[in-house]
Amino acid sequence: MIRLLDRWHTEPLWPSWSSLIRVLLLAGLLTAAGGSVLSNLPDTGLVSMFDSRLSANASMASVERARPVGFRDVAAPPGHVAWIAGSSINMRLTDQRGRVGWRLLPDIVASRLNRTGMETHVSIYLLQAAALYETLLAVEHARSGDPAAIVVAVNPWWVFNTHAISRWENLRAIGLGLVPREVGTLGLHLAQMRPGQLVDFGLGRISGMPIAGYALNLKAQTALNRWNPAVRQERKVPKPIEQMTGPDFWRAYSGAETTSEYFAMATSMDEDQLNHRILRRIVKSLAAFDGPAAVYVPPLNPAYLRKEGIAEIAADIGDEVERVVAVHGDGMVRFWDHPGLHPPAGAYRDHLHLKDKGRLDRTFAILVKRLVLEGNEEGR
Amino acid sequence: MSGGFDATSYFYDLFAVVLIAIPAFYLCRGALARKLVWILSGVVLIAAIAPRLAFFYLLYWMLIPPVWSLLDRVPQGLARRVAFFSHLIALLAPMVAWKLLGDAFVGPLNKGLADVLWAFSPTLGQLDAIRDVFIPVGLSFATFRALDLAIQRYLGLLDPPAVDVLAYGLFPCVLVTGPICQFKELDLTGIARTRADAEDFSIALQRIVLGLVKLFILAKLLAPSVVMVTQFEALEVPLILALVAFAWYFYFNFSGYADLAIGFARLFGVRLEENFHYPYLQRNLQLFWANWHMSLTRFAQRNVFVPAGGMRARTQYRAVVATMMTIALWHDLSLSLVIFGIYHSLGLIVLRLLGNRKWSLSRLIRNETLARTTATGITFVYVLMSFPLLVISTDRLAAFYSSLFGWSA
Repeated sequence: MIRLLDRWHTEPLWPSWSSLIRVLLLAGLLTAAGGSVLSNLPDTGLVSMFDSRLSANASMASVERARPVGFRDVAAPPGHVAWIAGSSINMRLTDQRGRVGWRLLPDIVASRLNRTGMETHVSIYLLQAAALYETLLAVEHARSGDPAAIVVAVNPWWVFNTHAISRWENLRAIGLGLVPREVGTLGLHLAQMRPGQLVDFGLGRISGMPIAGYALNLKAQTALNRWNPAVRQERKVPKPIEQMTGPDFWRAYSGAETTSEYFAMATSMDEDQLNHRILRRIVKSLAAFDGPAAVYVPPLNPAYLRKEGIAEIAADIGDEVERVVAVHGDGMVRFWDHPGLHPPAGAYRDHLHLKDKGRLDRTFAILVKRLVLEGNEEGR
Repeated sequence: MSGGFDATSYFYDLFAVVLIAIPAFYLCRGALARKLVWILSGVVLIAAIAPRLAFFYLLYWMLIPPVWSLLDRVPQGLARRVAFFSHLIALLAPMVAWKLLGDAFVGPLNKGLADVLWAFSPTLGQLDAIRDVFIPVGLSFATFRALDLAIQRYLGLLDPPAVDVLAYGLFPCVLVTGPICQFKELDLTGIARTRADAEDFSIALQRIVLGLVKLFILAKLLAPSVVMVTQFEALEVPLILALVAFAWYFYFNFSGYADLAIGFARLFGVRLEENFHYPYLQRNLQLFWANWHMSLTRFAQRNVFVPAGGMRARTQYRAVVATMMTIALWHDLSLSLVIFGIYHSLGLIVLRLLGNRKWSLSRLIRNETLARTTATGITFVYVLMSFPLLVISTDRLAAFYSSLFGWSA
């Protein structure tokens, strides 16, 4: 039996260059054909739970990070507002019947504006824990969709975090699906991507097959794990360092004793740092955009700000973002820091995420409306 | 394996690197240029996983030739032997520290390497920080290849120049996932004469496809068995089924990586020796070890079994134990692996004793096919029973085997 099996991989089949070329051509054809079939299949799985009538392009990263397709290319209607943010816009709200569910802040704002007679459609570019580089890619992508206005949230935790100009899982998810629109960004893109991702990227343009591998793998593993109670047991076991994600590792090994100490240690507003360069690029890109744009820093929980040193860092971060917007925005980019954007401690479920929208939707509705109208008046 | 390291990303990286390296290799006619293609490809491949790892491996392999120069200056005799063994210990040190100390080594290692990169270039430091890989991937393979090289040079079997040491150390096809190929397998002296050959490419293609099928279909399907075995307390199917599935997962995963390495190496005209040869179809334990992770077995035979007196009747059993302990502890430095080594040593010693007395299973079973099948089955079960030792910590072993044999309440 072993002799029989041996023959299979020790005796080459027709070893000639022409046969090899035939094999490669056939493989290429099958890959292209498979990609064509895949692209015509309905998108049945891994659909965002944030799909709604009013939003498009939403990417539910916790599920879709392993699926490097970028933001879904849903054609947004003319005059839409592109809203780029991380998890700060996810809200776990309780409705009037006491049901708890996830809602997206831009969706609620759009509903409010629609109720007031201002027909609004938002195109949400959401990636959980979006670091600054991913925000830049989303800005460049959003600009190409010709929106009426662009709103960008920069997460205070990630904006100047030198350990996370991008997040590895996020980069894999969107780094392939989003082509940088500017040459300078392309250099930064190539510096972060792995060679294999470039192959994904190249082949992905020809066929959906290689990229579908990630999604199929995720689906298969999810299906296999569903009937495996041992997986649930394993999740309770603490992970060794070898299995940590980057930010967790750097926090654990930063030498900082508290989270706030690490926050301070990892934050650098030096203009030479990559984060700062990326932020400037974001603001310049928004300034060059043919429409109004605004940047805001989602405020941290006031209870969290009371922790030693946090308030100072948070204030410094806000000031620096505002300064960058003022200096590099050419007067075309607004920095939003309205008192109504600061919910009370009770509205938060952790240091950043909300469980009560309070008057936030109202404030944002006013700001968005003003932004769009100002843009119209300026003819931008 | 770990956060950012997975088979899919690794294969795509290797594929991308080789896609560029193959034409570059064959377009370069000179030996030095071809060696540089390998070195650069290896650095790019490992830097893709994490730049700090590339820095580590460059340092590791670049330090070897200067150390040899220093060793050559030590007078012959005891001093030279002491210096040589110190060199071996230094080569082993990172792997031993990793396997012995675990997180206590991995954490500071990554932090230290990242700090050096950061000092060199903050931009590089920031690009490195986003990599989620902290496991020193490929360290066990690199360590044993370096040991093998050092021993062969000490014995006067070879004396490669520094660029050859780097080309061997950073050869991209085996850098991350093995096998523990010997220096001579790369045939660096004949590297300039290598020509692109259709038969090599044809065989390479078949091996790569075989590796892909093993890794991405068979191993992926059986992958849940790993968690089933390690979290056996929560299992709802018979543990023996999970263990058999785990054995096949282990084989398909490990040999799939080996097939990829052998296939990709063949694209460069390099004929790596086999690493797996139907180990579960072998008729006795000795044949199993001669066909399972063969590059490690060959390493242990050359550097432990023969020097420990394995070819002499009086010292053969001692040599068997030393060899099996080396093989076992390569996987991990733990009590479970010590038990693994003892278990397999005992099996091999019993086999030798029976062989010495000319005893075989065919004495009991007249039908030759049935005797062979039974022997294969017994060998598989014997090996299977030892696999939990690779993944279950010592304090849970009793509970595992109790559960496996239905002894628990």
